[in-house]
Amino acid sequence: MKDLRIDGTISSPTVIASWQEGVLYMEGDSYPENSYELYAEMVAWVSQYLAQSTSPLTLELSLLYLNTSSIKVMMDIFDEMEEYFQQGRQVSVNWYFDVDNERVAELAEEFKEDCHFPFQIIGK
Amino acid sequence: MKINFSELEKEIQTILNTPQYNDHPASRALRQLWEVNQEQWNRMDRLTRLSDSYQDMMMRREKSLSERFDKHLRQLEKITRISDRYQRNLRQLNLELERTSLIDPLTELPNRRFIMKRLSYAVEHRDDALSEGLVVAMIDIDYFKKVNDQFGHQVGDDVLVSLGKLMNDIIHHYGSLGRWGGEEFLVILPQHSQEKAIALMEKVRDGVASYHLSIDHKSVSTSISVGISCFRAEDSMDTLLSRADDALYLAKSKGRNCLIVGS
Repeated sequence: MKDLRIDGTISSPTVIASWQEGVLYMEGDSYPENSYELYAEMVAWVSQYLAQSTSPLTLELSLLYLNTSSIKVMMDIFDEMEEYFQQGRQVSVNWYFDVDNERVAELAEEFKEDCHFPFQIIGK
Repeated sequence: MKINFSELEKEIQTILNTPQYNDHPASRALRQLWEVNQEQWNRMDRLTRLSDSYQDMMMRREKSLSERFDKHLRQLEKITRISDRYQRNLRQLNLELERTSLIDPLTELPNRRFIMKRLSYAVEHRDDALSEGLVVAMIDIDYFKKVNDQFGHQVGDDVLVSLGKLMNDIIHHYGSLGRWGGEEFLVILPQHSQEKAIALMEKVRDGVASYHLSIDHKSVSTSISVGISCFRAEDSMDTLLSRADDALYLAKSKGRNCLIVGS
């Protein structure tokens, strides 16, 4: 199936999704003016992957700053992953942070709160 | 009168099942009445079931609406909480950045940018009607290079920190002290007469000259040269500063550890 690539800018992260590997990768800051439009394709990719494939899904995230609409997008994705997880699907999140910036880890903890699937916050 | 329906039902059944009554008009009427009654009961039963299931559906719908509402509320609260944290972090970072952009990290005194801002404010907000005006003093630590060469840069840094603190303790009630760069400091004294400024800077010079910094059993003593200039009506920030700079140069050439007022 199709892969996805959205090039990053100063205010939006690089997004790479690989259907074959079942990995969605995001890296950078996220404060675009049009979060919902920007992420529409990515959100659709996740929904399709979860619905059409049976393989595990892993999110590899190196996100620093997120504006409010980006937070909503990420939470929607995590909620959808949680629903599939409750039905027995293998899903996981690896959230990477720079050890010099503990604040990113604290925020990732907030996201993790309601997720029961494996959600690792990894310093590097 | 209370009717026992099951007794009545039994009685009717018995009458309807008795063959010799079959042709009696009353029996026929009773049979018809019985059938109508049965039909009504069935109808009532169906209505009740239908009504129950509608009620059930509405209850489920309400429950799912309230579940969805709760879910959205929870999501909203979480988004707000996370967003607030991002904003708080940004605000803290901003404050840190602002601080690092305005404060000299070594002496923790205002840096050149900050002291220039203060000077510009003092120049703009001076009151020429007052007899006492704006005075600046440029300070340079004498033979600072020798301190560095003799004792090392670490001691040099310690001297800058100690003298910065010592001078600021004297000056901060009257004006501001900032690190101008290297071993140079700038003093801004709003509303000071030349005499008052000279007296204060003399106190600073004397304080530095009699101060000894002890580090690792070594005693380091220094002095400062000071160039003073008083704001004149035709002055700009640049001319005010360059007169102080010239006066400092003169103080250096006159043997250091002294004050000169720029003319």
